[in-house]
Amino acid sequence: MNGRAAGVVVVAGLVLAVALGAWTCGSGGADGDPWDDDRGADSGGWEASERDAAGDQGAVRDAGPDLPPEREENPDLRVPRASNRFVYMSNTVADNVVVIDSVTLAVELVGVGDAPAALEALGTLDAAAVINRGSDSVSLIRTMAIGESVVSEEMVAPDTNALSVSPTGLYGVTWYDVAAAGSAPLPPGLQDVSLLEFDSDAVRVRVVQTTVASRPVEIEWSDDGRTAFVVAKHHVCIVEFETLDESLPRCVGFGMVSTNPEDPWAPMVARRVDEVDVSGDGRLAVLRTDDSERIAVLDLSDDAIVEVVLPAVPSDLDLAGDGTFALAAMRGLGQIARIDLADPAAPEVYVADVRGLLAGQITISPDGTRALIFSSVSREEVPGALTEVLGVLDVADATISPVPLEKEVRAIGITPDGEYAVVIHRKNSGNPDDPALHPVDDIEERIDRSYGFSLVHIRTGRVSLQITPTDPGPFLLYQDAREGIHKAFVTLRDDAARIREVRVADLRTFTVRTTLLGSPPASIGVAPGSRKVFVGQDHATGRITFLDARDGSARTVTGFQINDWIVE
Amino acid sequence: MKPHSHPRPSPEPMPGPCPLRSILAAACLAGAAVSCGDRAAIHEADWDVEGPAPLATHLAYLDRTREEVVTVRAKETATRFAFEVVRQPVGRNPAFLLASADGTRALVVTRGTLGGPGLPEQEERLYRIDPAGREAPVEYSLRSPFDRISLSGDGRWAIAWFGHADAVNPNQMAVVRLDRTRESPTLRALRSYGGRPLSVHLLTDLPVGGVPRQIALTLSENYATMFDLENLHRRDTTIRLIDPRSGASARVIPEDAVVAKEHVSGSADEMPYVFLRAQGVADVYALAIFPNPAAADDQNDFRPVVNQVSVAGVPEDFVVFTRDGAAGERPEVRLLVVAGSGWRSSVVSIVDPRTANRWDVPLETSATRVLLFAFNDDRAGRARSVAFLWDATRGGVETRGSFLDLENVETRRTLNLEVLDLGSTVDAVIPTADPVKLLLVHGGISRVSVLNVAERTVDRIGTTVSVGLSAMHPDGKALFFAGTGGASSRISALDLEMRHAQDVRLDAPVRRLLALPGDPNLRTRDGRALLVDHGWASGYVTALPLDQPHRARASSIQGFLAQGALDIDTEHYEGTEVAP
Repeated sequence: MNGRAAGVVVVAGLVLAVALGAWTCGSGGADGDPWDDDRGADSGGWEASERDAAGDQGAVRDAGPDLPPEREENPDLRVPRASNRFVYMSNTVADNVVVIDSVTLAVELVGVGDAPAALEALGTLDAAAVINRGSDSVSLIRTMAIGESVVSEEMVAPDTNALSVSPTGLYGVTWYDVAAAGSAPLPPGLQDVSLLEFDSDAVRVRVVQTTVASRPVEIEWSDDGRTAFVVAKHHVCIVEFETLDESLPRCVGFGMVSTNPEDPWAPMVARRVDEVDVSGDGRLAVLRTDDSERIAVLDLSDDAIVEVVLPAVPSDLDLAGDGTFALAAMRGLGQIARIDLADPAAPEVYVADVRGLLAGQITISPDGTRALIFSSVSREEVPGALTEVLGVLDVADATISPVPLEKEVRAIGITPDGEYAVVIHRKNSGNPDDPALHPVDDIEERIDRSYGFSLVHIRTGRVSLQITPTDPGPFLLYQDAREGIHKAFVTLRDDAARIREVRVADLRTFTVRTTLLGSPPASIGVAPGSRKVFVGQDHATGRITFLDARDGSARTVTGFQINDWIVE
Repeated sequence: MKPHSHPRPSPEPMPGPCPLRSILAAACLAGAAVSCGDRAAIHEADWDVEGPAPLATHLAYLDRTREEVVTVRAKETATRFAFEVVRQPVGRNPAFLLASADGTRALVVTRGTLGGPGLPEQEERLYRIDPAGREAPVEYSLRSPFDRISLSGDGRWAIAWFGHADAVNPNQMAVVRLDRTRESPTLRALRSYGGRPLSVHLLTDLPVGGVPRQIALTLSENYATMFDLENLHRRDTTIRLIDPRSGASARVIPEDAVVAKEHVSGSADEMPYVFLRAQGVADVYALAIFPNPAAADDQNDFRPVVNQVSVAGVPEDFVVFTRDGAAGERPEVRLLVVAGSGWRSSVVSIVDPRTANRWDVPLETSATRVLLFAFNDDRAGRARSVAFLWDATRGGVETRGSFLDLENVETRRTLNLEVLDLGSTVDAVIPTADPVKLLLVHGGISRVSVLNVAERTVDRIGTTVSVGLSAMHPDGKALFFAGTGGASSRISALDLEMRHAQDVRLDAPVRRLLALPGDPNLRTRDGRALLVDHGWASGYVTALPLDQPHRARASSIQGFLAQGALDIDTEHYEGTEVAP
């Protein structure tokens, strides 16, 4: 359930989670099922785990305590936001929202409530909602054309500072995010949320103020956008928007766990959960706790929790979009695990050995047919680690095809169809142009010391490395199946060296061209209606460059904050 | 408050063409007047005359002492010139004089008077005066002592404003419809944030939403302000200008504006652009003017959207040009910006206002000014557009100029660049009527060259010219100039085709040269002449044919400014104005 729209996936920063882990028992499967064939690791096939869902036979294996943790890079979700044709950005100081037409570059300043902050676009409705922190309200801005935006405003729960909108743009939730609030005084109700229901024309918003479990931290949505899952400290609360007037949000606890599983008399405490993944159909949630080999599968239909113990603390865990399975990387064991979730009450665990690469992180392709296995660990940290390889896992038969890379991996993004990937590389310490290095003989070292990214055709394993003058920043993968477009937009920024550019890569041909920017890039997004990728830049009066996803042509609007000072 | 009456004047018959050595009768008459005893105050007053201002067919002088406009017309006869002098009264305390946009009328601003014993009060006025005196002057009551007038290119509009900060409200201005005789000017106080107007531009026929709009643009420190000339009840639209490198507190002094109003986008979203540049700001402010159908009744139904376009350095000059569009598409507008990039180095930035994309062309020379040329290149067999770039810095050292071919300049960049040694530094560049020829007046020695932009040649002319003592033939065929120093009685006519200079000796030193084109609305050649003002207080003008100036065909008139001095209605000038 990541943010996707109209065949476009946005990845700004990097992927997966980190942990070290243990392991649970699998229940095994029927003969002939490729998941539980007793294939050896050499074959790359899945092997039924020795453990079942409730068991904990055998000792948890050492997952490699000396290895540094995998580094997860989260998407850069800073403003601006695009909704089809128009791009929206809140201006807290001036109490307005900047609306930019991605086609004409026309700018409109729309007055909203006091101190607008968190802003989200409403799907592709050419509308956006923004929380006005100063007036405890939410403003809905609907733009038919520049200069013709319509604003409506409704009160929300006091001190609300976070906003999430459903993929369809019809519903939203505001809540108090402790992490976003910083050192601000705590509000009276840490569980207060406001449920937003936008009409289909996005010109009116109805607000229902209610409460959920204490301390919400994030909102997930079902793929159909009708259900919100408010993930709180110890609960996930389910908001069914289509029956909003009939029922309050239903909160499901994460359950209690013993403080000492070895001691049946040990006190029970609420389960600590560090990551919650809800399946796109809203059927179940997978709960993961850092430093624990135990994951929990929460059946959201009957609140039942099944604990699954993996062979090791997973260094990464990824839930398939349809929720039918999850994959865990167990770096210390050199294994990956597949947790079948067809029956949440009886998860089945299968493992496969991974050889020839360090299985630190795993990323399932959006279509669920493949996964990429890699590690963000560097050989400088773990000498001899096999980190310049990308493993392409065929989820169906657990075969792993190694894709050799020229550099180590920092982050990965995959196109929605799973055909292409962009690998952002790590840079080893040292100057690639060090005169002590031989220009030819030391080319490997020179490459390792350089910044760069690689374009990967996952199916064929074809790779093209791009050396860059600085560390790649936010990037975006654009796929338009109708137009046959697969492109990557990678921002580069080095203020000291005055590097400010976007590398636009055609993933079908691996050709890359550079678009120079007038200011340092800070964010990247896409306006699907106009097929414009926009690059927000650090500029005193605001600057955005729009890149046509088809031909890469650039248009820039600068000084839209100046438009804030136009007095009519 | 009774307005000062203005009897319709009639041309005063003058003696026939005076030979150059005729008696200064008019001046003598003035001398006789001041020698009489018991003189009226008007006779004691200093003689204060401004001018001449060249109109299309007349020279106009403003006699501040007698509060009259004096116009002189030289009518070419079969042999020489006949002169027609018209005196027309204007309001109290005339301040300044200028020509209308098409040169067919003189415009005079008067300060008026607070009145006092024997002196009727009179408000400040703008006069629109037919120099031939056939029409009665049109009075526009300004009601404030404005000291600047900005005119629209089409002659329909004028805005009177304050060019100094001492006014009670320096942001007050009066909007005048010059094409309407019975419509009072509209006073307007510009929205201000502590500044005052530095310049006022009238942008006519801007195609906003497919409708031609008439918009006034005023530039002041940190702000640009627009208002609708046809809907003066609507509020100003004020745009804050910020230098992003210096922050919001830094001063931004806008220096100039250019407009692109044709073929801007080539699409249904077409809108005009106004470009601004400011001192020390390495950006161009591109104001796209959009229609604003949702505006309230008192709001402008257009709205500017600012795009702050980075260019290669601080702009020194800029100009708009049109490039051919792609096959089947309309032409596209580009902005060419000349920017300094360091000591003796400059860069041209080509900007697409629609996309804000920029292409830089580093120059091998320093340049501060640009002129565009469009001509048919016979050798290439196609139309070409070329920018000529030169350094107009006083005391500069750059002796070279650059030519930038604008065809595909975005991709060809320096391949389209050509450098030409101009021989010495350039003080002034004077366009000629020939689309490919420029006159260069070189610094220091004030020598003249003819620059052929198409051929990239510089022909040096073996003479020296003072820029203030020269005039271009209205058809660009010749340059008229007088010797430097102001003491020469000789003028030269430089044939720009033949590059031959013909000298004409006159009877008195030359103070100004003025080449009048004749009335653009008439097919006659009346008033078309080369006029030489000799700088006499009593008036002394010599007329010569424009096309073949020759002493044998010269005629002069003297003393016309003093004419009638003995017949002054002294009562009109009596009375004492109360102290303000």
